[in-house]
Amino acid sequence: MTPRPLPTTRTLSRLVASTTLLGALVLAGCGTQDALVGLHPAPAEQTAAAPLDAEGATAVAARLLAAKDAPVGGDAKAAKAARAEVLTGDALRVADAQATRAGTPAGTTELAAEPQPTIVAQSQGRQWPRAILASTLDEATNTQWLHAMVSDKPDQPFRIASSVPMFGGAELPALGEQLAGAPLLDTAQKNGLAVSPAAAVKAYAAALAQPKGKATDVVAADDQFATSLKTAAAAQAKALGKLGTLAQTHDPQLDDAITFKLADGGAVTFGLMKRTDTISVKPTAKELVLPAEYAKLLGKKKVTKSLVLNNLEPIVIVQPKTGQGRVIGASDLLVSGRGR
Amino acid sequence: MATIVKRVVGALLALVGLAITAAGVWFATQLGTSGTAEFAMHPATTDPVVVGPEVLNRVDADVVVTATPTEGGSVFMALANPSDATAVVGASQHVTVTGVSVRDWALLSGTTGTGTAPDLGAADLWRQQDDAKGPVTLTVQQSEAPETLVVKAEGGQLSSLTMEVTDKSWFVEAVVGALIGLFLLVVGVVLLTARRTRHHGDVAVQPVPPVPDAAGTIDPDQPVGAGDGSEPTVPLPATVVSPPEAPAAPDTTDSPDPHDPEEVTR
Repeated sequence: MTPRPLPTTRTLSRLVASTTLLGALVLAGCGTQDALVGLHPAPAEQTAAAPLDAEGATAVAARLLAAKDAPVGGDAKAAKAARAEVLTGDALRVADAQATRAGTPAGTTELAAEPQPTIVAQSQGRQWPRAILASTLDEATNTQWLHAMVSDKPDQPFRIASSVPMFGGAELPALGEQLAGAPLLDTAQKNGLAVSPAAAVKAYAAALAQPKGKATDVVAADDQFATSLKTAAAAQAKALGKLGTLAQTHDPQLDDAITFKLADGGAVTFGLMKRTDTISVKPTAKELVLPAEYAKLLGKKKVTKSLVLNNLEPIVIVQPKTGQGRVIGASDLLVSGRGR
Repeated sequence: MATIVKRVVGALLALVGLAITAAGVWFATQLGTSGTAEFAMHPATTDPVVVGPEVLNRVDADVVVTATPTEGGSVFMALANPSDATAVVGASQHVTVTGVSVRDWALLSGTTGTGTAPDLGAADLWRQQDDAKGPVTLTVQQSEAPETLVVKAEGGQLSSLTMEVTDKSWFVEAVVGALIGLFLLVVGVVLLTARRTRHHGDVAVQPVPPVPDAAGTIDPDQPVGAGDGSEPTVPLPATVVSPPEAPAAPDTTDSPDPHDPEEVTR
């Protein structure tokens, strides 16, 4: 039997050397150094989310609402420029019209709201335009306001695009997890709904027409706003009697409309309608004496042939995934008129 | 041949050990006991400087960035989502920090784009921002990663931008590295300087011859040799016992050399 040779010093030396060298090479190997010092790849950006955190969005909304109500110095041109720094779209159009009519800065208009916003939703994703949907409570009138704020480009700040008071008892359905964001939709597209938001606004406008509206099942026309319009129109027509006639139309102005997708697949749209009231003086009437408000607007106290009054009507309409849509907030503002 | 390999390995180990020791000691002295690494650059520019997540968010520790304008200037510094920062800076001329150089503790950068940058402060996409006359410091929290930092000097140039990261384990690792390097250095030196005292060849075991019929006897009280240093007078058995240590190079002769002092006969 051949005896097994014992490890020699040389063998041990080789073992130590090889192990040590191997260890050194492993330690110096690719990636090991990074791991040793705690280096790792940067995490990937989650782009399907709200662009701002809740704190950031609240700060933006609070800043804008405070700026909107802040008094503006200087002449009309300076005041207009100041409004354009805070407002855009429908809100700017309404504020400018109101300023033109009243000669007062937007800070004193009825669009004023408490600058203590609650962020309802943000648009989803990293693309532009971006939008913030915020709400405020006017404690003086116990009215909840909805504000849509928009940033059109990366280097442009958010501006208020629409401010609309909600009807008493009206509800805005959930828009989903705030940090996840709610996708902005194209107002002119159906987006999986029965009709597009634009079509819904158009149907609502047609339904409000006077003296006879066009019935629709796309959107309910029995809300607080529609009812008050009908009531006022009926009262006006009754007051005119045989002296004149009243025709009222509502024209959707949706170039700056903003539509958020709701959590249930529906949509909420901030839109604008232009209302035109036309009072035609009948031949049996010699003239119509205008109320003080209209007289101031037109610069005359009476008309003999016709009176045209223009109003801007910001509205918020909610469309469920299926079923009839409903307007949950609206306001109107007399902005201009003419009389003959 | 084996000796050469051993010496080469020893030399390599010594060199590697020396390098690791030097690196460990250097890192330990540079980082300090707090383990703080500070990288700096001096862009001397009015263009925006962009530091992306591949620089800010590759460690677990928070990163403190300080921007200093030239005398009398102010600095705007803000953090944003990486895609937002890219969008707002756009194609305008800007300096991008691409990495760090540990050798000289510098921020590596390159300039890209053309044209003037937009008003960065007007944008509503910043997660955190500060604007002040003189140095401005922001802390990048890794819990908010990934983020991109944008810095722009106003009313002057950006004099310096420093990025500071503190990780106490780095100092410990540097010390441990130095110790490992020292160990490798010692092992390498030992291998390199070990002398060959014998040639440790294989042991050749001679065949055992048959025992003669009339074996001689040895009186343990009597000298085996002739007493004059010459050949022993007693007939020797042919048994050969290997020495306790390995013998020299194998002798291929058939019979043992009785004059070989390393062979013991009895």
